[in-house]
Amino acid sequence: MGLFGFGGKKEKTASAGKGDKISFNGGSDAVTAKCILTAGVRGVEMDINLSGDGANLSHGPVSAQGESACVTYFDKKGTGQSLRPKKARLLGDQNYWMDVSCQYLDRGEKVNEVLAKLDETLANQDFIVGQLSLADPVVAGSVMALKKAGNCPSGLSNVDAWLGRVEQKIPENLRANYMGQLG
Amino acid sequence: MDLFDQRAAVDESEGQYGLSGEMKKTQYVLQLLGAPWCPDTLKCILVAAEQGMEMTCGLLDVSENEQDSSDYLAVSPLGVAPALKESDYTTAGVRAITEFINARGLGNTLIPMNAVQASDQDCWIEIARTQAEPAINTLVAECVCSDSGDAGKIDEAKAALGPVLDQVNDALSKNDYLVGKNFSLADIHWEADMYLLGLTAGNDLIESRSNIKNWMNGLQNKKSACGQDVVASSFLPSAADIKAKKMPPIIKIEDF
Repeated sequence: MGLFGFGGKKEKTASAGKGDKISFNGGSDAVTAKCILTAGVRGVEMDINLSGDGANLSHGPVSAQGESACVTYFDKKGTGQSLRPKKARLLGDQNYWMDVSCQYLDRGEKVNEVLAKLDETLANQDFIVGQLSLADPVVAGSVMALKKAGNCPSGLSNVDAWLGRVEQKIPENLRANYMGQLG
Repeated sequence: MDLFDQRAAVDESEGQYGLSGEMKKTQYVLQLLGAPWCPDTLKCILVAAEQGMEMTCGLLDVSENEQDSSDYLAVSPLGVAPALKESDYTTAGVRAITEFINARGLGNTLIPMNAVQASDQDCWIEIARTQAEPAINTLVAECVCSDSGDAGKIDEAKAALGPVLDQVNDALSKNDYLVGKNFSLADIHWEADMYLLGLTAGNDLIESRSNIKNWMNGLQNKKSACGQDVVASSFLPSAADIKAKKMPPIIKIEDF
């Protein structure tokens, strides 16, 4: 057995009770869109406040701050299986696209190149790494923000179809009440 | 022959780890392209050593914009760096590489299962990347890569780092590692950052924070996560290597 790592010692951590509801605060930006899409896809119920800045959540005694922390928490708290692929190569692909979304799309850099590559990737598969993964709500959040700002190139039929598939994965009330405000 | 095979060539002679049949067939030797002054590259080296994965390393000189060269774009089409190859698979970016190696590796996972700890880990990683690394990159550029650092830039970077390092120091007062009793990817990210900071005029920021200093000392003596007789930080490039743009040629695991 390894001397370190999470197969070893277990420890008690703060945790929310059954009656505690998640409260999420964010702004009307790509980061918030990623978090809400992830929560929606994972079936996490929460109260949402979009008048804030950045992204943070509270859940009983637990709090999390920032895009990555919130996305991870929603994935872990969702129903059924996590969106993180178990196979190393799919995990690498998922994280590659999540990095690309932060590094380029959210900064408005290489947008045409990245989306052309994404369109090519989605030509023969429904989701970014094949199966639904965290890359889908995260990259979709970036693309939605670009679309809302009018910075998304047109003619990307595979990206548009994929965006529709991701949106179909989230509950109707989230789509109706929040998605139009984001990005 | 792609850029990996040009710059991080694998020695396929008999007895090479992973190629002579001792390990599972899926465990190929890894090839990394990165820069020795780049925190993300050092994180990939640390994870490989922690997880007992042999890896050859080659230079990608981002100071000369090699990430935009046609040779590099052929292996990482969007120019994301560092990049990793395992046999017929290639990926790029620190998040992809570290988690890929972690999943492939021989040790226990470095990613917490618990929701709160996993979330804390990612929070610390984001703080490292967004709040600490811009200042650390400046310090490395001015103090290690350059012969005569700009005092104004150095002071500004150190001032920006102080409050961030106070948060880290505080977290390490409560636990052995950043997210609790177990070593995680958050420690890898901060270990790479603090290692580079320690090579610069910002070393006093570590020396004056006892918890960070003790944690760093502990990591310099810690056996790898996979239990092999390896200290991961021993593979990191020295200040002279960084200045000479020299990557460690191979993360060699002999105790398998």
